[in-house]
Amino acid sequence: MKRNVLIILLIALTTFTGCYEMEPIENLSIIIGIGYDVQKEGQKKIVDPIEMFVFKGDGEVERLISPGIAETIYNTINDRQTVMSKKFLVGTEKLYLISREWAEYGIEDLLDTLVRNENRNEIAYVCITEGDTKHFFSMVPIDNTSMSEAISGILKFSYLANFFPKEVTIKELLFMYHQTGRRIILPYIVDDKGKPKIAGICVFDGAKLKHIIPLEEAFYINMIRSRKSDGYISIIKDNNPKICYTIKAKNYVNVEVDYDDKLIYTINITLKGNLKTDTIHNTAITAKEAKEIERTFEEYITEQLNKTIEKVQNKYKIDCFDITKYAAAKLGKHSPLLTDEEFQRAQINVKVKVILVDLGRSMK
Amino acid sequence: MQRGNDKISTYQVGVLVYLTILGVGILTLPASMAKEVENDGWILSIIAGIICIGIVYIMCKVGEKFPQNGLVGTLKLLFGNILGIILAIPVFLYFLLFAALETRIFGETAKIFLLNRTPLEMIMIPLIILSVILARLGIEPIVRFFEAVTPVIAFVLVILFLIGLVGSDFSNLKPILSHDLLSFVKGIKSAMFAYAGFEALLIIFPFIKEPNKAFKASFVAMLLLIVAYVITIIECYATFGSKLTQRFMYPTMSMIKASDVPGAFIERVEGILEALWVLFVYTTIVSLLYSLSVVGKDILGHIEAKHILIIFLPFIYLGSLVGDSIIDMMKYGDLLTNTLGIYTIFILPVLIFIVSRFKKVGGGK
Repeated sequence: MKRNVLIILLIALTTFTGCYEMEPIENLSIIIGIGYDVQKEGQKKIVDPIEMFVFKGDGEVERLISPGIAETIYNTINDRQTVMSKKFLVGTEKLYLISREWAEYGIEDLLDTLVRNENRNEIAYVCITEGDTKHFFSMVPIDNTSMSEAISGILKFSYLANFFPKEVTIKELLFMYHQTGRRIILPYIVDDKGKPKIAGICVFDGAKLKHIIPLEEAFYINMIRSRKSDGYISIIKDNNPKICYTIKAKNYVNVEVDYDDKLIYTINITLKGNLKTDTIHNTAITAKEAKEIERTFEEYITEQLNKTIEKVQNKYKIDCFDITKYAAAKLGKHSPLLTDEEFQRAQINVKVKVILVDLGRSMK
Repeated sequence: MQRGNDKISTYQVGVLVYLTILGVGILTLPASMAKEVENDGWILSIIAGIICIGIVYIMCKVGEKFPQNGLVGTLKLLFGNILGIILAIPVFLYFLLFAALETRIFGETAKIFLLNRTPLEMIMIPLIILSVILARLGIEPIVRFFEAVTPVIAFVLVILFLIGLVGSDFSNLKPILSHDLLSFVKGIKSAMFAYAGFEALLIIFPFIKEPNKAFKASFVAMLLLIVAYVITIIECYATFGSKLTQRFMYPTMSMIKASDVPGAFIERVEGILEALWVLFVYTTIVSLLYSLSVVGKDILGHIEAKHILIIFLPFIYLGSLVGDSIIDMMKYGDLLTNTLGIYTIFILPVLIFIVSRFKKVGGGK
């Protein structure tokens, strides 16, 4: 009797616990990229283009971009669903694009929803775009299946040059916003002849975009704010690019904070690198010459960094180097010294050490 | 099946205490600590743990004095039959409501992270039924089951700690001791209730083979718990910082979700851990239900403890449905800890200890 009851129970359980309201893949659209724009005409509304894969049957997969226009982020779903013939899946997105205009307007609502909604993918990449994000999603991907993959790949591997930090993800965005002494700094993507390209960095003040810094300056800002990222540095002699030193370096940064009527930051940067090009010397490099090359780079980089520091303190007037967090760690998060004014009048000393680990396989 | 003698060893006492306390608290602990003292939450957790060890010591001393009487028997001996029962009723209610609260919190987290479309009742009912099935069997099967799942739980904890290390920035813990003493004092209460569960010691003394060694086992269990909690809090702070940790309802789960396992051959690790985390909650609820049944049996003067569970099973289920949302449950949880919790964990053991000294009753074995 007991066995019969058990069998009936098992059959009932397997029968009634099933895939209710599950849809076959042909009825699904997989979100791979989400964009946020501001509608320029009329009342300010959010335009939320989404790039997704749709499965048409017979193994055919198509890329679709579907915008939604509404006052708030989630109201755009109301708008989008009026025209969508598929059910979309969240949590699969690889990329978030935020247009410059929307970033200047403020991204508080997006930051809140990223914390609140557990379905959002925290390891998706994020950046700011010049112009509409729909324009970037609409580009033709050359070596990827979608523009979201293409742009997220650009962001993922950006740390291999220009000293960009490794993490450019939603998780890092939330940390930058919520952690004391930090501000949001994201890559800035432009349209370069029909292809996306990183052209600089965007620095936020709270949740609003404040400055866009071009790549030439961002290079040295990244050198201070990132850790263990790669970059290529060249010293050109006599304005002739053929005669130059070039090293590929990885940065190791250590920041010390002191206070004496104003904040004193001492930034120790060690660049461990490989010599990639040397067309200045024509003879075999000796140890002495290697040291001389290191010293040349140290002087050059220190000079460039000091110029950048001065520009950031006087022109941009906000901490783009991500060093205020060290003051917060030392002095406490409620310290009155963590303001932009204190950053502007702080003394920032930078000490650069270049170590050439490898001179290459050339004897010369 | 060989029937046990319903006595448990010292090691089993330690396992019981450890697994009773380790439940839903570990998910919300970093957020509640961050709300009190921000980045010094891990220090607050250590202080609370040490205070709880002190309370465990008092409980063990009381238990050693009255090893055969149990809680209700001891209360009857010290305060008389009627007053003893009156003093035991809040303990009974505490275990009942605590079990309901744990069940509800588990249901809510499982719904958020794992089973979005499953009705809450369908998540809670199987858990309650399975807990009752084990709790009915007696203390020895319970601790044997606990012993059996200890390696799995240890494995889950190790994975949790390792995953939390990825992408951590330990400078988020600085500056250390940046809050005044008053902030720590205010935060002690919520920190102590993260260790709630050791009050089961009051109940199990009649079943311990060597009651005089119970404190040693409990002490080791509490130490390991303090270590586990501190590591979890530190890793949450290192991952999110104290400000963002405060915002999360379940920062531990969010930390796992935000971690990126290198190689990316495993994704959605939080799903696996959430599934295994059921064991954490199950052991806590089983222990609470068993304590409930023993106290209920002694209050009602019933012969068998297992019948008490069947009688009160609907009340546990109904109790877990109280409140429309998790926010309401958290509010009721605060009310429970501020009233019955303080009574059961602190007031009652101290009262028994003091009165037994004055009355000079009880003699140990």
